[in-house]
Amino acid sequence: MTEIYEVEILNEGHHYTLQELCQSLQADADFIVQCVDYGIAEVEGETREQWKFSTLALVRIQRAYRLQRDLDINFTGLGVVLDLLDDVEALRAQRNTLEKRLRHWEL
Amino acid sequence: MQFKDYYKIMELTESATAAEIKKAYRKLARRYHPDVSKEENAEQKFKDLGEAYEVLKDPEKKREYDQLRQMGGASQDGRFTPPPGWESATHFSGGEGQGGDFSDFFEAIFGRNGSFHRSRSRSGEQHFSARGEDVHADLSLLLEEAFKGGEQLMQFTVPQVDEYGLITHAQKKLKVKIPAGMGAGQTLRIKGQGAPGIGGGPAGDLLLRILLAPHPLYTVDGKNISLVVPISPWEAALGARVEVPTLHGRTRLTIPAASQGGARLRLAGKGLPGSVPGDFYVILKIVMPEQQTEKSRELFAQLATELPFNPRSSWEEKK
Repeated sequence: MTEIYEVEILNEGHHYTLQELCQSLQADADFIVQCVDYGIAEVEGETREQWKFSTLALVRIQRAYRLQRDLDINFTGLGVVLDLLDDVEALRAQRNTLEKRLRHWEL
Repeated sequence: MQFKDYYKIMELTESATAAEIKKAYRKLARRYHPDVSKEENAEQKFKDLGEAYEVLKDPEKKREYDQLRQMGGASQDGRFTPPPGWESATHFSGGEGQGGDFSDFFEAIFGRNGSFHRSRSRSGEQHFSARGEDVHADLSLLLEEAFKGGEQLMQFTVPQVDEYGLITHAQKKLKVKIPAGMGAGQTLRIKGQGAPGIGGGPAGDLLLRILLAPHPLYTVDGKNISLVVPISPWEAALGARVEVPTLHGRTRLTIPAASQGGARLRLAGKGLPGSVPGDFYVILKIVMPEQQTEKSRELFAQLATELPFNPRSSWEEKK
């Protein structure tokens, strides 16, 4: 308990390979390839060996994995759901900021 | 242990048909899925739901559960102990499940074998060892903490596979050193603190997503910080030097003469630090004094005649 752990910042420059992603998510490469094919996650690189995934892609694919496992959603549906969830999250954050700013104006 | 009312969890009555049970599960799974839901305790509710469905969808398990429920499974105080000699006839057979472990209540009725076996490491099964899964967790910081960085004690849940191959969840606590200047949504990695490896494989990592708790004064947009600064009408008219609290300490700021309410002033680089540091925005809010004197009213009246001004001129019809 007394040990203090050092952290590593995963900034925009950090990338995962397909193999690393499979390990991280305990998911099949097949699932990840489908996610890329359906545009659920963005990837850099031409061939699968060269593929580079961002941290953002990792989070999206993990979410997609859980949603498919638990709610039985197909890949087209996963794309729609994740895009809408992103929009909702962004709108919620924006609304919170604006609401708070407004409270400073109203008496 | 508490008696769990699976019918209540699934919002059903005991007379529900198999089709109704399935339908209720689908509906509630959508509502409580932790990736979708904003409901409080969505994760726990989703887990309870998975457990309730596991029992109610299986005619054999359902029969046994109904029997216990009718026998007054719960005593007056809601506590539950299985009847002496109780043994479930059902044998668990994998499932489409949630990959989670079930409650003590479930295990008391259906036995430990009723819990999920690890079924997710499909590719891992052929090997002797596999790396543990990465674990994701959120860490909420106050804006000041994110700005300064420092040690944070955090708690998270790690899935573990016990010697029977069953998944259990362990609560883990650890102290991490957060670098200064973390923004919302930033991800941090702590190596080797995720799920333990299988068969001597290395442990996974812990991935921490930074969240910022709402601040009473500031609003945060990426790395930029905004602050509403109240000023008097004469400060707005004549200009002024005021002191404003920023994360970098109190800063003196010049308000130009003839400033409008709602005007934004920028203090470059005074937002959250980073390779491209954010800016600090001051939004001016003109505030009237609550009390007036005879004399001040006179002065305002004088001002009204001195300066013909219609603040609503933009409403006038253009000719």
